[in-house]
Amino acid sequence: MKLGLDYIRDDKSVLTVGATTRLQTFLDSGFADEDGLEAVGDALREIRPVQVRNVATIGGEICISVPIVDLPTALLACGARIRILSSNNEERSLELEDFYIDAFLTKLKYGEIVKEVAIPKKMSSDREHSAFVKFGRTAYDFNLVNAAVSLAVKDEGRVSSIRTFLGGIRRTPVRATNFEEKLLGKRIDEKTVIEAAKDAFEKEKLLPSVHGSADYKMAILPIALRDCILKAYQRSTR
Amino acid sequence: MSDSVVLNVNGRTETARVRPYDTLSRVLREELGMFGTKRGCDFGGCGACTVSIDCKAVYSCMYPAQYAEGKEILTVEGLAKKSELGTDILSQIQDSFLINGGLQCGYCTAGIMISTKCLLEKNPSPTVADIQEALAGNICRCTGYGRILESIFAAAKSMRESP
Repeated sequence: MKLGLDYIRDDKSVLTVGATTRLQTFLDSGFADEDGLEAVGDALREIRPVQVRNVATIGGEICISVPIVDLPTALLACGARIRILSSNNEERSLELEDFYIDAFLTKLKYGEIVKEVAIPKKMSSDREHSAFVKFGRTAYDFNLVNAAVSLAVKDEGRVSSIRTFLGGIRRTPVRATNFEEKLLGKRIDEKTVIEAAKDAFEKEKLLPSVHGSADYKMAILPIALRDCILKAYQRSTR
Repeated sequence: MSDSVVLNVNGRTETARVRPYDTLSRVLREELGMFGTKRGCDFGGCGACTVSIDCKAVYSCMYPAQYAEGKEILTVEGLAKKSELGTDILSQIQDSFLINGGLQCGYCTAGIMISTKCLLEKNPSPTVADIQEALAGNICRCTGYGRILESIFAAAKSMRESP
């Protein structure tokens, strides 16, 4: 039985991707590398190996809700919405930010599936760009920490808006609001980012795993943020 | 759900008995007797089971056999061609691995050569970085990867020069 959810639709203001679209199909389409959506392309490339990308689906990455996945962090930074389809053919829309409750627990009710994800496209005049970085031990490891940011730059390179999401540090992705507040209105360099990352997180709240202790994650968080913000900022100020 | 599945394997139509949620790996090996595709970890961590489905590398240990219906499956047994006498003419990829010492125990080799085939179909002139990305999902305990890279590089060159 085919669900008919393998599609990518670009209507100039929104990019819509069906839930059974393979990760490699989305990556090959080029849409994930467009201005503003670069975090999604970055994240797709970090999901390895190719044998997994050829079979894994967008819907699967969104719905599994575990700290070790990469695509949701990038979709969150890009302000994605999802459409949910129920078994009696009703649909509802939800911001991806509101979708995750806990590890393995989303707001999907019994009899519902995620039908598609919709990512708002950015006007090049907004100079809004995004980036994603992943810290893993090997080429195709799950992440220890990942970070995604979407930011817009106005007036002499000052940040006018910013969305930063982190994965791998709690049971669901987190928005780094304390950190973002310290960067609004500022010009970005390595020093500013590392400074803003200090005291933005409490070690007690970080999720340790067999691959990385809370101490280790605490130590690499500022690095992940620095790499991610600088990557997006360079794209915005090119 | 039916009890049998019709698969297009290496250009031939094969019918195999299938149980619910049977993996392509199990059906190829135990129903069709095609043991060229290996079982290494059976959970998508090693790549020994790699087969090509519609020119895309896939972990057959995690791929439901029934999904493969209607698609073109290529296994390691399908790399060589048959001569008029019925003997095997090895593909350029296989020749290159033999000449360049790209295998020792050979257990990972089937999967590696299929991943190589999929890479070279899409990108006939890969850089070393391209090869490393495409082969990231195939691990080898014996060779240290050096001669695998050389074998793939040489195969690509040979295939560009005489397709």
